[in-house]
Amino acid sequence: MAYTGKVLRVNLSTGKAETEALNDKWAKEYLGGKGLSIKYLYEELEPGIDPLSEKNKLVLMTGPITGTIVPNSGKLAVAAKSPATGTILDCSIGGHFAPQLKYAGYDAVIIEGKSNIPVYLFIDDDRVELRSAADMWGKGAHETEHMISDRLGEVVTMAIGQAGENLLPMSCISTELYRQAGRGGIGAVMGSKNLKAVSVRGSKGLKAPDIRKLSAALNKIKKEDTLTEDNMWAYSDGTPMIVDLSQQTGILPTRNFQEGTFDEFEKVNSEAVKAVTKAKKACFACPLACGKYVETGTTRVEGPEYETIALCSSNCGISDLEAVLEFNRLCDDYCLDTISAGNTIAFAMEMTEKGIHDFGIRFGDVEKFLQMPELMSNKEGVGADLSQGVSYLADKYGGKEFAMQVKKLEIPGYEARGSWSMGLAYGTADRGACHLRAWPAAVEAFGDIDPFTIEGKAELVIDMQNDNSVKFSAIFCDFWALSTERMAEILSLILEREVTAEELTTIGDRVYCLARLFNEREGFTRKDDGLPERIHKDELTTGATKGKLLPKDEYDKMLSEYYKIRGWDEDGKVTADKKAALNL
Amino acid sequence: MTVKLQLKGPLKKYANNKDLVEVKLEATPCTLAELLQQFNIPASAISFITVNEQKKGLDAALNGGEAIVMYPRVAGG
Amino acid sequence: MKALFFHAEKCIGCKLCHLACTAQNEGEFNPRLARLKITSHYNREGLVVKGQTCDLCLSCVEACPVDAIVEKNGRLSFVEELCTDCALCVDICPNDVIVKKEKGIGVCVQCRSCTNWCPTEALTFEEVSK
Repeated sequence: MAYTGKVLRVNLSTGKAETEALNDKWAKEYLGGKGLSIKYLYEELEPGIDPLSEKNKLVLMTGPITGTIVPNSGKLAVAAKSPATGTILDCSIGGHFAPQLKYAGYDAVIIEGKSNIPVYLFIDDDRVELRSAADMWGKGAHETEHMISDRLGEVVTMAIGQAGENLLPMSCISTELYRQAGRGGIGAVMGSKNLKAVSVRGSKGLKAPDIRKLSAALNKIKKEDTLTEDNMWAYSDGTPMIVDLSQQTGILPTRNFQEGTFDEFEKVNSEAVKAVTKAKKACFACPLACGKYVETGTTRVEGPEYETIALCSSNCGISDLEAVLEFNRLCDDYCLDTISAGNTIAFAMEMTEKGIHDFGIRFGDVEKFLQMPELMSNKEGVGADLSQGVSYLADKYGGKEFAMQVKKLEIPGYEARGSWSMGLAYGTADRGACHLRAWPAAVEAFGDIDPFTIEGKAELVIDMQNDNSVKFSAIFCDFWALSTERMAEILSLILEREVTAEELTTIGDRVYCLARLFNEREGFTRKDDGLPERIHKDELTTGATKGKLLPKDEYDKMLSEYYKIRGWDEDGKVTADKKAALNL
Repeated sequence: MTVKLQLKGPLKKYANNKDLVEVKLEATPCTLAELLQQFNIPASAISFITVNEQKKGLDAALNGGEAIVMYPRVAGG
Repeated sequence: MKALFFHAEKCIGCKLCHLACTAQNEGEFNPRLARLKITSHYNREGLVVKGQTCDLCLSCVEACPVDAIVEKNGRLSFVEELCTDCALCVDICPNDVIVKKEKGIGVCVQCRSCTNWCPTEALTFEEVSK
């Protein structure tokens, strides 16, 4: 039940699809999802390759709980070498793709090479076909999904839009229109391979010895630990709930991270989104349904998520909810990562207002803002520059000190000056600035740990990174706040052997260190773990974080402590002892 | 003595889905923990609480007249 | 007589009902074999939520030429030994919720696994008004 034991390997250059046995030893050491996909890539990718060349590989990886009745088990890991950062890149996508892949009989798909014509991959149990996508090329992900459904009926599709075709380093992959593998330019990896979409349908079930007993045990866990007070925000509000928390604690990125509060936040917070919400939508096997389907007179979209609001509303000075919803829909269709897109547009706005370079767009300019997804995705006009992200813009036009990125990945929606451990989480995230590797803001800015001290922060971030690495390898959804012990209990049921919390923490550590080793092999060291100067030098001016910054020397101390606890050397390299301890 | 209590998101259900309620304190001074008890709100459901815009711990004392906002627990990001 | 009812406005499309049904009745997790059909997906016009459940119309009982589907006290049961695999019941079911298996068929036996798992009470057992 936990593994089908089969990997589908598709070579787009030769058009061949073959199945091979899943590497059992690796599955034991890395579980699945994030960990196992990174392991395959670490072993199979040559160092130093161009992420957009045919030498890169795209891995779609399920986990041991995928396809079962375990709550919140519907996610899929999508991994490759990142076109945006050159680091390892694993994304997590929801919807219903992952279980269908498992029911089709595969734990994973590894896609290699490059097709010479646009194609889509159709996996129908044992039947695997590459079909022409000539008539879909140039279209958005939404129409692509509809066209495939028209042809194939009930299938689940992941597709790219024009941003992926045009190889944008901020292009994502969409499924069920509104769910994304969002970051690091994963869509461009598909685009570079001339792969427009992957569709799947599976009819094989997953069997377990005493499945009724297993289901009863899991239903008890669902009732006691999933449908509980600390998780119900996802059902009642979804991520827009976080807007009020960030605003109150002064960590809501505003006008390109110049401030940590947004005067007009009430126009775009959860209450405002709820007023136009029509329905709640869940991923497979998820009782929490964080997805909010929204309809207004002019647009319809599932969203906006907190990150979209933070980066595309407050950070761009846009308080018109309708505009944010439409921007969200456009990004999902073109397949632009809303975090990187919003962050980059905000940078262009500040550059223009400061008179450093005129991008023709200013904070709050709704009309220009709404033109950006199309211009960027098609690399037209000013969009050609913006499509390459904030690091590229700063290299070309200046403003590096307020180009808000780490390792060329744009910073998401939590202000590090008001949550110091978030700074460390961004600096040490394996794929560049990311809030999902660790989200210490929850216990620091939003909890009772002092946000403005480095004390205990290295350990806090490491614990969270290890925990999330296990979560994303199993794969549980991030939004279920379950303990490591609970994960161990569930995995014991699914893997039919005793799994301990200690074993899982070791797996999490191993996964995180392997990701680091991948990056180390690509030349990343301590020098790449720094934050933009603004975080160290520009004091915030409003709200609970007024007068705050994260001093550079404090950050460096925190980083050194982090390396030490991790078992990495002063330059951030995984030590020989650590490698030996983790069987790396 | 009364305080103004605002409950955010899923916490609203503890006050019949009202945004803002005027609460009569059973005794003053009382603590935020006691106020939670009065509304049967488990501490695990809370991220943080502000009293007159300042983040306060559960042992913070209320004397009446304060504006209190309770923010729900969230996860993931 | 009670039967299964679906309330689209409460459904989140998580498919836990399909999983619960097949775990109970087929010994595997396989949404395609579920004895109900709940879908929630986006077409070009927006979100479409649909549910098909057994409403105990008894068309299958009447149609079965060998009495392999029996209704007793408001519950269906299936007698595999009698079944000739003609699949007439599958074709005739107006809600399309009888599953054709390699051998025999699956009908909703009111095990209530689906209602027990549904997190939003989108599935309920209610009195059938006749």
